[in-house]
Amino acid sequence: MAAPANVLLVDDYEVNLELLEAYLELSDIPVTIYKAYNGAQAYAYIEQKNLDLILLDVMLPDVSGYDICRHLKGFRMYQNIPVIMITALNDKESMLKGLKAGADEFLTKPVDRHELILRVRNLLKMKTIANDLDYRYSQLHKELVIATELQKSFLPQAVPQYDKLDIEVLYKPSSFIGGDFYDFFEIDKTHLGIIICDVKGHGVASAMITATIKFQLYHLRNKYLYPAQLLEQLNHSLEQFFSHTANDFFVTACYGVLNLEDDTFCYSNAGHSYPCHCKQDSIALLENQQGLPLGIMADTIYDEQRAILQDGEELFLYTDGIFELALRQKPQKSCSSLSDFFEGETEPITLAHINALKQEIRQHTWKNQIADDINYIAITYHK
Amino acid sequence: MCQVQLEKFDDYILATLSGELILGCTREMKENVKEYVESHHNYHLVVDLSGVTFIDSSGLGILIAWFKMANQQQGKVAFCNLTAQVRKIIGFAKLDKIFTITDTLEEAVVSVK
Repeated sequence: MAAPANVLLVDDYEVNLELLEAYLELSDIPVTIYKAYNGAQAYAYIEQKNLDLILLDVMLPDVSGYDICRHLKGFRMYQNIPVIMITALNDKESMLKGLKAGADEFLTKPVDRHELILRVRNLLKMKTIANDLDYRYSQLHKELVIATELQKSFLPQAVPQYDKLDIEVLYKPSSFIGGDFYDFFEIDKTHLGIIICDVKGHGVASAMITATIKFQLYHLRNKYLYPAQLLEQLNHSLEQFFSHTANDFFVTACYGVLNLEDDTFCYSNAGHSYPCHCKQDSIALLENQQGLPLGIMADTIYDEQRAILQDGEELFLYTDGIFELALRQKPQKSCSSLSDFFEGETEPITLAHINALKQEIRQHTWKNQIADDINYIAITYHK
Repeated sequence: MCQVQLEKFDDYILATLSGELILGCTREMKENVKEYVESHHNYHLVVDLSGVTFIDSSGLGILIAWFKMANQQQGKVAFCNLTAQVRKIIGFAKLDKIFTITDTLEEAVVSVK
């Protein structure tokens, strides 16, 4: 049998309270009744008792029923408690005022017993549904928190320390769980592997795919020196994984190896935004000829390219979330690459532009809610 | 908001898409097309993208899903009438390397036969 519903009756006249109490007790609805004679007592019950319904008189000695209702509906934890306003004023204006304050139902004095019971029964049913939804939401929220923590644990806890490199990372998921992922592989004293990925979508599915990528990368550690081979094998595993799960998933990725002996960056790309080689007087996008995103075709071939780094130059790897900035600044602009982003600039694009862009990204992610995950890795090279 | 209109012809199915192909509307659209194709046992699909004003990674995801679905059943898919922006995004993800993309509906119909 269901637990009795906690019903609060608020009226400054004892006789009205007793009448309402008697009507409810005579019905077959199991209720526990609390009585308040003024606003202060009503607020105390609202805070102390887990209420399921409030029958609220409009005229009270210390505060109006409208104010109590408005106050109640302004709090996340109380807004699901249904409120029936009881008024002697059977006019449209007071009803509109009550509706504006968030009341769920109205009854006019003298209260009709049958009408009261029907309205109470209906609202208690709705409250049960709202309670159930609240419970499910809180369960889902707990699971999302766990998945978020799990996904965070897949990301590097610190950047690698190499004398020749200054590494800066920004990672900002748009929702609980982002679809962006990056990792570093400290292969030896002179080789550093860097991967940056964008898993399509967000949420728990993204976290699971990220976990799969992390796991596969661990097993591919004998390929860390060979970017194209690493992406080919990762692609093969993900294609198998998606064919058993969801066929509309895919992952864009760029993997490269920094060689500190010969000052090169050898990289391969799977449909990911081209990394940027930033020089003092220009920038170059590190393009690849091939490079379908991961998880679409099992036998995709990837190519390798090589860039030579000079002292003070920078490698800038990123996910396409950074282009949100362009859309924000120029809503009509289509932006899917750094070239689009800087389109229309009259001066040559240089490292200074990239530094300004990073600065803007940091400010934007600090101040605003973002629609897409934002992730970048900036590596300054010292010879 | 994105919409799909489906028509059955003798030897192919035409899916005419319109609106923004973005996260939030793609799942239902993906399933509608899949169910229609399966119920007609015809895996040759022509997708007219002339009315698609924007596409994000979720939108690319459903194009990939239809491509894979047809491939698994020895069917063919052709995408036609892409706006410059949609073509650019598809090209950027290198999907133009595996998708059949044509300028006109007539060419697309020929390519799936």
